[in-house]
Amino acid sequence: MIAFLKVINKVYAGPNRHNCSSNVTQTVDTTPQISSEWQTRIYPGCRDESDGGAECLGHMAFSSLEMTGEKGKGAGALHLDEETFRRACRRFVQHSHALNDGWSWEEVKGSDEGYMRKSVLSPGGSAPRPARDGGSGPGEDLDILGQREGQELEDEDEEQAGSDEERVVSETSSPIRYEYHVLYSCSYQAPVLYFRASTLDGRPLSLEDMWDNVHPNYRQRLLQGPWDTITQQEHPLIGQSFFVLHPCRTQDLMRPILAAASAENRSLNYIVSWLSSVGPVAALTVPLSYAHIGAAPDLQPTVVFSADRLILGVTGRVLDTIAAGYISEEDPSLQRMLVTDQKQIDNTPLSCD
Amino acid sequence: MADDKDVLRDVWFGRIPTCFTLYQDEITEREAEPFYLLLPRVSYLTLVTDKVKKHFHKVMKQEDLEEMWFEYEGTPLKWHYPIGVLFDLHASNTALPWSITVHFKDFPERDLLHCPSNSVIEAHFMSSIKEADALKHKGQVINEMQKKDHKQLWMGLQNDKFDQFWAMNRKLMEYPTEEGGFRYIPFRIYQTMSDRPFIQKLFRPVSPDGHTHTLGDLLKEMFPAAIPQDEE
Repeated sequence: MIAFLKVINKVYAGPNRHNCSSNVTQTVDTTPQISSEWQTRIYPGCRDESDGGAECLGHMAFSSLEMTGEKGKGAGALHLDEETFRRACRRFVQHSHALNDGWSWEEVKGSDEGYMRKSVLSPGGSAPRPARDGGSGPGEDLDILGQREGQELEDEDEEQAGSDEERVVSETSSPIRYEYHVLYSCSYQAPVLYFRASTLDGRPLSLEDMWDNVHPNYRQRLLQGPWDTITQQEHPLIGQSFFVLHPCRTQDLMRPILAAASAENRSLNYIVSWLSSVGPVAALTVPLSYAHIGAAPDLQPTVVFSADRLILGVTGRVLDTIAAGYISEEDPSLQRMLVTDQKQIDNTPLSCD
Repeated sequence: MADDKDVLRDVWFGRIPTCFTLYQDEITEREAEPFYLLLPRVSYLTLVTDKVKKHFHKVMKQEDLEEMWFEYEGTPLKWHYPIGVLFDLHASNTALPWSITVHFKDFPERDLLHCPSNSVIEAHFMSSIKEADALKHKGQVINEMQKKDHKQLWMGLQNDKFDQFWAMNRKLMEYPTEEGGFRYIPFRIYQTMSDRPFIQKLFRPVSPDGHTHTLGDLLKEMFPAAIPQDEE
């Protein structure tokens, strides 16, 4: 639990808060009034629809999900329609521009379709723990947080430190280019993650090579049945060879997240929740500040997965509060989220079978 | 389905006479004779070319052998498309036998998927079946099947057993009579003239006013260029 809070601090300190990067964990003298303020913020009750306005993608996503429910078995009814997908991507890309996080929207020539794309250059043969440091992709975390902070985290988390150091030592090979594409699958009515990695001279990395950069929690799952989860497939829009995280269980993955958001009247950006949840399988992480997307200014929280599979139901303000150490791990709301998350860890359907 | 059986059989047993020739720049220890095969249209190149591989391996040194891949008139052939699709797409105007060039070097990474084993073909095949069922029945039929049923579909294809395959595939092709068809019709329109390999969209079998869609309706909507101008 404590490690969890530390990770948040680091991560959130990342993008635009260099100054407060190291002052976080020690300030645990919880100030009750802020905590209760937070309570009211996170449970604003039944909010007026107008509150979210165009920002509130989650509500749109959810109403369309309900619409596609049809009669059949209610359990399988959580679809993302293409228009909502595009809107969610647009907001995601906007936020990425603000963060300089590298995502863009690519139109396909001669059609009205497109996809979200990011390319990351990793300095070494393998990137140091991209999943934990809150950088948005392999290699970038160092640029954002600075080497010093990476070191610090290693010291704090002995469990990880050993293996990671070993990897750092062996990192002498050439830079690696990672490429991530997010496409819409009309068959599954869900987003799909396509990815590949290559050396600068164009030699593609095997899936096994790429796994070196995947967070250990995920790596273990992948090893259990890699080809059930990830296959090499042709990119349906540009015809090249990519690895694909198969979308057939995406709805199962998203169901509890969407249900929780709906029950608590929280808005949510489908792409943020989904990508932050599945991205680590491909050594991609989504900085926590994406949690702001889809939220009306610091009021409506959204849900983000951290790389350690912890759901964070947070607003920007709450993130600030956590970063300042004002929320204790005993906070009932936080506890509840963590409980939800434990179930997630156990039940997250990554595999197709 | 029963009345379709003859057609299903004819489609299943469709064959393309093919001549495999080793690429001229491959290094051999002695001359490599071409190899002839009847390729099943519904299968995959890498699934039915073990004999081709063995044939050319005999005349080559071990160190010159990398992953085998195929090419027709300069175009690498995507093993993950059904053989019939590949032929119609690239070679429908050619004289038979279809002449395919065999390579063991310089694998075109960008264009082709690797195929290290039959389990990769199986995974690809099953993911196609699943995607189709997601469109036809929201995946309910395929998800209700057992692992051994999935295996039966795959073994039917792998061993060219029509009855074995269709005993299971029949379930995937059923729909409630009152609905008049699947939820959506799974289709892809493959094209050679574009980076984009195929067009795939949602298409209902029946129009909102109750008229049953034909292939012509689908093409008109998805790929009007395929309809001759004078037809209107």
